[in-house]
Amino acid sequence: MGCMTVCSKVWVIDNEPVADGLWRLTLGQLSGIEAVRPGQFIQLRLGEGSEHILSRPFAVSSATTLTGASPGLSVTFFYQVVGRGTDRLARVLPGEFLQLLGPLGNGWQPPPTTRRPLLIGGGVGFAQLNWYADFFPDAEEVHLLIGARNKAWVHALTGWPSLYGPEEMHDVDVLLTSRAAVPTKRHTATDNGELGHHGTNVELMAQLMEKTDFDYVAACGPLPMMRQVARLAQERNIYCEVSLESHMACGIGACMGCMISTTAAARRVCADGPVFNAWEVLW
Amino acid sequence: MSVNMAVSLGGLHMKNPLTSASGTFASGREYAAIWAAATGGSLGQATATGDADTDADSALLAVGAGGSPAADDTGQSAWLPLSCLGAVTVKGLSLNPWSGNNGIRVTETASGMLNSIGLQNPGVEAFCSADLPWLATQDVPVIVNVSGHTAREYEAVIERLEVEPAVSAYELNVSCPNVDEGGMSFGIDPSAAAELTAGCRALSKRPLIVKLSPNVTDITEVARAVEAAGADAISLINTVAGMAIDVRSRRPLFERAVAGLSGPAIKPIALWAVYRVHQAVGLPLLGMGGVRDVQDVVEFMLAGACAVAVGTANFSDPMTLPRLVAELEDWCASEGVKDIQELIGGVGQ
Repeated sequence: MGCMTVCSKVWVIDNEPVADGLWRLTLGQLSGIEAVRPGQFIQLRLGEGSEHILSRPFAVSSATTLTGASPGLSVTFFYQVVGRGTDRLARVLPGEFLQLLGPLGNGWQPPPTTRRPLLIGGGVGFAQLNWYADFFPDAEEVHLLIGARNKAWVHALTGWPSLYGPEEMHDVDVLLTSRAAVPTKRHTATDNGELGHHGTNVELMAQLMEKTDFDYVAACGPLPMMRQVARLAQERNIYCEVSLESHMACGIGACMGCMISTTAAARRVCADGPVFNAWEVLW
Repeated sequence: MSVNMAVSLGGLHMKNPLTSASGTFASGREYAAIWAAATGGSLGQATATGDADTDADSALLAVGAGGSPAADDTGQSAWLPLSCLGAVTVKGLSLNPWSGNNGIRVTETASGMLNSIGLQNPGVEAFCSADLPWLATQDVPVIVNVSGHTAREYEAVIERLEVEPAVSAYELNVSCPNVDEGGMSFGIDPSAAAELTAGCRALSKRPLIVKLSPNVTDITEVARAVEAAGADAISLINTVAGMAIDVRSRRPLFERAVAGLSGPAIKPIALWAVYRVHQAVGLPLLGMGGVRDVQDVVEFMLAGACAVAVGTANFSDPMTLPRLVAELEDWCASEGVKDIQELIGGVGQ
């Protein structure tokens, strides 16, 4: 596992809506946590008090080391307001402290020989992949594919500079060379057609596979999307990882609340995952 | 002022009244790792980690103060985090592996949670080979929670564990609402509970605790029955039967519809059950249900509990138990309580 899991109170730096129904939360001063890897998650309590007694798991979408007056690790993640818990989280103000447990989970484990990875995300699931794309220093090119409901979501989740208008985005291959050594190709699909492919990210993935010989696929998003991605990858014999979600209580492997079925056995999403070999998941 | 924190739960010596509630703590490894991380792996390196961490600090002190030193594989001194507890109560074990329930298994409710795990466990043999050898080195009494579909299965689990010196006591689970056969069906029928208790009693001289369900009309009836059948102690309460509905699908959220409610929401129910059972029977009680702070612990003891288990609060804050160990002793000292047993059943009229 590497880095030890610690429980601490962390400072809310920022918590704001960035698109319709989509929020971004940044936490600072993660004392005791040295590093977080892409694919790992944290468990976060939703404010003080006893109304919300269970922490919620959130995939870390980026981690940076702060310097200056308040040094330490800072993490950012995106969440959708979907129920009572996330509605409470949306009312947390900068300056408040929240209880955090982490880092948790295994993180992505791409084969070291990966040359042309495709990182495909649906909605809020995409957020961590932008960060994950930095972890392929030896690849020829990294492909990022986001599917989201509209332009606002794409801009919020990707942070990709809006240097290209809708016309350029209509062309699915936008090559940007700003990322250090490895060329990154960015692909967009929107439900309403505001940007990129008008349709699903899975449709766009199928198109891309006709042109590019991917050797690794990482998927994070709604379950039906990941199931389709896994099938497409398996049809072409491409190694595929998926990051699964589940209702969780403890987050550390003790309560057996978040089990999924795999070809090997029932596994705990929190402690054995959340990243699984897509071929082993019994969809 | 030093406080005597030790209690005896039906013959089980506990150095303080606190233990984990079965099913929330697995066999303790996951929590031990987090407690150890909080102390930086050793007491000598334990330092306050920041102004915001006052809650964690007291827990850290408890792990450090209560944790026992032991030589690890490298010959260096290591700390045994679980040894700060009065006992560890491990997840329910059955004779054969149980795969548990399908579908969603946990969800949050207002100040509580519902679970429908279904007593998933690898079976007693796997526990004996995978977890018990580790637990045996942790310098803490081990209470094994026992489940079965039939009385014979309960007995078979105990027979297997009788040859294991690392087991300190048994807790018979006759109160789980999340399985179709066994579990709660024994605990809502006084004669079935008594028969099961007597059968297990005959197999072991170890402390025998019977865990009761609140999902009965009169919990004292079941309590008296298991007392007469030879139980050494009673633990209560297991979860309260409840449900949740997915309004989009218009179906029960859980596949079995019913699930078990736990957390602060059920504390008043649990406290009332402990209070009534304490008046009805002479057995020591292990109280539980929504305990999350030191006031809760003291309330349960005043109501009649000899020891107190923490369950759902472990999910809310994994440092809860070591923090309560430290805070309970502090509370006794500040209140002039010299022996914690003074509290047991100490509530006035």
